[in-house]
Amino acid sequence: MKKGYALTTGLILLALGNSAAFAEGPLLAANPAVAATRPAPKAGCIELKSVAETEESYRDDKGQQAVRRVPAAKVVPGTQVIWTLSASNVCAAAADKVFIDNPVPEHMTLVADSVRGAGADISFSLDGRQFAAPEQLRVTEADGTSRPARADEYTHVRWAFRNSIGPGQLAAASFRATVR
Amino acid sequence: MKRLLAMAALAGFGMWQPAALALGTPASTSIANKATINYSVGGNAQTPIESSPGGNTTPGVGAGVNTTFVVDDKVDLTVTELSGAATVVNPGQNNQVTGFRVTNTGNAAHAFALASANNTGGVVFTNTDNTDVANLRVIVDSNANGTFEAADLTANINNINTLAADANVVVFVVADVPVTTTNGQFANVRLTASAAVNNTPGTLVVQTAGGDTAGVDFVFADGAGAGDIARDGKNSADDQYAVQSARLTVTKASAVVSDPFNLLVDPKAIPGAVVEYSVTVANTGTQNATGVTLLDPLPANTAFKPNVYNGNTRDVRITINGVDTFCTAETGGVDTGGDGCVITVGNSLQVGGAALPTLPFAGPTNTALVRFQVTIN
Repeated sequence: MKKGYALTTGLILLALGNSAAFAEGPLLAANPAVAATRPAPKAGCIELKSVAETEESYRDDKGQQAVRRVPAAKVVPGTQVIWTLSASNVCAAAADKVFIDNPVPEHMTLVADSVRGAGADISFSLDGRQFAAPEQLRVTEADGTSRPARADEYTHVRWAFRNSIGPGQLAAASFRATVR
Repeated sequence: MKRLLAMAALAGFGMWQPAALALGTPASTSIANKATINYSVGGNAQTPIESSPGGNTTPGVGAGVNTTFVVDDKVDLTVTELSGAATVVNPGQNNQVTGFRVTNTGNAAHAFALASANNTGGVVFTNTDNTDVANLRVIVDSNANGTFEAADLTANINNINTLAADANVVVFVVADVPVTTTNGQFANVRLTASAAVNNTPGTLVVQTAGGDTAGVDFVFADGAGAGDIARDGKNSADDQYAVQSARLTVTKASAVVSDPFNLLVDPKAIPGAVVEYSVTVANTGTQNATGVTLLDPLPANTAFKPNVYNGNTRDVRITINGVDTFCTAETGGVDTGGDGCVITVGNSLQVGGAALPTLPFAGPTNTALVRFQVTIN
């Protein structure tokens, strides 16, 4: 009988040992005193950066007209701003099922067909909760007729990356929007 | 497939309305935005991470930092002519008005400095400028009712102190018409508005040179006006004063009526002969002529011959459109009969007043034929 019990216990222990959550799991959280001194969440695996830029023309060394990007400057109604996201994997493990959600900035209108993201499936939302391809997004007018939503009506953009981001790798995404 | 169709149906649930597009985000508005990344490691979903301008790795809502920038001051305005036609004026009139509208099409309130000027040459409303008006002033419509009134002249506001984004105001250019101008002349005038610091029309806005600053910068976005270029912080428009008046032409002819020897047959101009003068007064202008008075000095060596018309009872015959009237020209300069005719003390025949009605500028009644006779001494 004793033998049987020991075997059963051992099995349970093994099963629990595989879960990474066990080390800081329910046993510790149940004790309020210990929970209060719990360390801050450690850094995640992705460093996410969002940069807003505008394009300006200038004369290069050869005296030719050229265009370059600068941090969003002299922005007035009508100016087009380029938003660029970069997601770098700063861990030793691969990140997968990666998707980035970006609300269309307030006071700005998304430029149709300006969304870019290599290796990503791009979708949009009209309410921040449901995302779909442009063809699936429809608007019902006050008179009851239904029509496709326009790009300037999207409220959020989503990039769903098809592949994982390996350690040290970077995924990029961008879109353009105009200040109203 | 099923899921997508469901989404399509939900998207059309009718409560969602397209957002109205604002007319211009106000200057100094801060635009802030951050993205959120969701991912898994080893098959386990991780806490989402928000973005920051320099890159954020701390998971959890609120751990990211917005990427922000400030909307700058887009300086933009239009000056447009108000009525689409010239203002008709008469020589000698004062305080004649041409109207304009100044609109702030930028995204921040500004003052606007105003200036008016006579144009030299140029075509407005298909007419070429060939004269000037005098005493040009700019008067802002003080009570915003679009009509020039005495109250506006009294208030005498010459610049726009403040005009909100998307607002507009009527501005009048006021001038005096010199009495020397003549029928058919055109005076083109121009109103120029220049963007200035809000509430300080004396300080014009200077476009921010160089790179973006941390504060609100000024960016000129205006188009070219009638007399200014694009992106100079100004706009302008032209208007026109069209001078109209009556214009009288006077022609005179004479014919010998009789002489003492040939009588009425081929009479000659010899002492004792009677000569009839025919003076034609015509209004060839574009306004009615009132108070027309003909003053014709009697030739030397002649004597006015009275009582030759209307059965020899009257001195002067006035014919307008085939209808005759007559008058008596008293000598001595006083029109005792009050009929409008008199011989002045300077020995001129004067026909006017009751004897010559208003001559309109068109039609058969715009011409008066005045006839009188003299005897050659």
